[in-house]
Amino acid sequence: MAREYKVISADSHLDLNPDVWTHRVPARWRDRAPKRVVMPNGSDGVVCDGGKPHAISLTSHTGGQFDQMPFQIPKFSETVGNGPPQQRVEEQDRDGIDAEVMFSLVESMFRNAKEDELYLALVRAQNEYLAEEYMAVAPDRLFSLGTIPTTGIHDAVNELEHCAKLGFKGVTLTRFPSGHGYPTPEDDRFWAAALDLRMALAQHGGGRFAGPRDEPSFLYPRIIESPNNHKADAINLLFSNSPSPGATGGSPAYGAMQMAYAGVFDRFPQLRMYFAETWAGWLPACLFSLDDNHRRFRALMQHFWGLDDLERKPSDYLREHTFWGTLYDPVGIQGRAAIGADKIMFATDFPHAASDWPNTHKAIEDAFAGVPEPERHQILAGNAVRYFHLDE
Amino acid sequence: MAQEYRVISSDSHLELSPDSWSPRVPAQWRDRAPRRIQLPDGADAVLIENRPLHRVQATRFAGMLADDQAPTYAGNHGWGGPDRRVREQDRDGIDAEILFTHPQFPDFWRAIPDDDVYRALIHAYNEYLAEEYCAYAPDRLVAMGVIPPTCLDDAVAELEYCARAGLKGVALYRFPNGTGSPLPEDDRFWAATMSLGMPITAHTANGSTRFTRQGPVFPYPHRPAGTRGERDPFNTELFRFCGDIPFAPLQLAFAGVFDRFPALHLFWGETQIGWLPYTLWQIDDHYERYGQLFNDQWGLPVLERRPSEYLRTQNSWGFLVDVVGVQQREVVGVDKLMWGSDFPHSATDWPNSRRAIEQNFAGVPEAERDLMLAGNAARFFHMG
Repeated sequence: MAREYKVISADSHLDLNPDVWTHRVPARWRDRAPKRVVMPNGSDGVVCDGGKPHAISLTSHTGGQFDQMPFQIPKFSETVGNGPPQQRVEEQDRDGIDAEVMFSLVESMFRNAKEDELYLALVRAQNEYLAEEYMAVAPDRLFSLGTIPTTGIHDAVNELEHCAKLGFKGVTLTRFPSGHGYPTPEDDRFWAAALDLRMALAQHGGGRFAGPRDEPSFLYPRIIESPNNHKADAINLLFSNSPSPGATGGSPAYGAMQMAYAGVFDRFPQLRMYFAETWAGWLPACLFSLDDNHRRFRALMQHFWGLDDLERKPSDYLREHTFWGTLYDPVGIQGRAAIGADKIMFATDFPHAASDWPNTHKAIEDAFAGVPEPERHQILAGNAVRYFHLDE
Repeated sequence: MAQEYRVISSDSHLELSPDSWSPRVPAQWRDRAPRRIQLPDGADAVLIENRPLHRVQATRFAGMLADDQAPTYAGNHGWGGPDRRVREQDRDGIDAEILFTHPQFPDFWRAIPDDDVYRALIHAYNEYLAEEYCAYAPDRLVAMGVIPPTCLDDAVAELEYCARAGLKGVALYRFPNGTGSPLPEDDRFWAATMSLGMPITAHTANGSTRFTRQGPVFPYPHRPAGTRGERDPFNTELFRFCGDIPFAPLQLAFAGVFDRFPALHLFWGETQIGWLPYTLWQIDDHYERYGQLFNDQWGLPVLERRPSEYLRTQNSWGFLVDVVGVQQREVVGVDKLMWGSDFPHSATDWPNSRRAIEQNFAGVPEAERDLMLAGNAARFFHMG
């Protein structure tokens, strides 16, 4: 019988010591795979392919023990969350969590790999370890997402298919499938394959797809270089005078609007995208100002950038096609009607510092006070079960 | 008899031709003042040393796209003299405007590295505002004096001048000490604003109250060993998931300014307000989680009250069309919110502001609506 899920964290982290999975890297690449190193201050770090060591951070690996935090030196072996899968299940039990959807810090760990072939081998090796060794220990509780490489559409589709074979419920994208920070027609192959394979799509980067530096943010049909046009980017006009959360700058809804303007949602009406750790309290104001700015600026967007107008309002695309991940967010939960209670997924962020572990239930009681049971269940578990097909 | 105000735009913009105010620059420096020139296509532009030409922008209003015109001060709505401005208010059904000089102008003039010249330009500009522009219709044209972003002495001196000259408020472009970091010496300025009864404002740039992206943001007593400047409570941590719209008022809170000057109250133009419920909550939650860490690692002071309480009680916020924010007005209180038209910038609904107002305030009781549309501004800026 399928497990009954009451609380699922739709955004947790798995920042593994690379030494646990690099035995899966083909022998010819293994000495260039990530390795644990000890930093001058005694904390653990990771070094990959001779690059700069990357210290694991205090706020990512301590499981939210704030009163002790300033005095800790982070090490893989002493922190919660990043141990063996059995330990992780016990940590879920201690927090009263039935299952977690987990993201891995792949890009920051592998970014120093100097050859595509090595990078792809690392992505593949970690994906295989996660599926065959890590998740296999508790396949109804440990739902790591597969990682899609950023080296181009061919590699993206390839790894997507491999992840489906390995039994992942979904994958995470750092960039658009083409490897760019903007949508391209060739991405359609990936979107089609994801629907075909029933692989859920997730993005964990503040709602913005990363891309190589100095790339444009969208393939506009034309850009009229008029001295009277002093705006740099058409889609950004939609976010004028709009709250812009996100440490990296820019609204968490930017990626979704890139997809809407590229016609992705029109061509793939079934496609959904989950943007993790965006929070949700900004959504009501953002949905309103997107539509208001769209009304003001659509003629300008069409004129200067040749951008075809959307078939529907910006907020319609967001309401239908996007899911948003939030942590302890009473304001976002209260404002759930703006996007819909069926589009918000609760998460703990464990073992990162924003987590309330091991007191997540206390945070839940507070954040969901007064929320009717069916909606509470949707946000806490139902939406994740449905989105990631966890009961199949 | 004092004018009775029904609609005041608390956030409108001055787009003044340098021809109007540069004659007031003292003769010894007048040739260094910005100058209007005409481009071959007929558009106006402004020339100042050390900077590319600043072409006058086409003003755009909802549904109207002026890309084939050559924009000029004489032709653009809202870019002319005070007489024209009053007629434009009439056409839009607006009784008065709080007029900001957008942060891009003091930045543009800063092309002049010499402090004496730079200060003289700003003083001449303020003189023009007080003696000519606002004087034309003092009840309707309420320009904010420009506080020079150079140093504390200059800031205090210009504040005193603006008060003497009868301006009804001033706008800050940096903290009074001239940098993007609040410093103890600023207290002399805050004390002066209190004794002069001068309202203090600032206008957002790039969607944030943050004054500048350059330089330190706080006089941290220390920082964690081995870290570089870019990652700290203000630059990354506190605003990570909510955006940094209230950046500057939070700097003031942590610098203890609101505690030392409990009567100090600032108005932040064009912040919008729909973000307030979520952002105030987020900052409190983050501060509760990480405050001890920030204190330990950077020496960030421990606040006497929750961050949101400072933001809520000692600040007012300007908004344009923001239905969600209006509905959630009780979060900071209806007395802290001021509507604005943004005229003549592109987000304005001019000349149809009244229609936009009807939509914006649908269902709001009249007394509250009056406060946001006029009462709060009239009180804050001592109008009438």
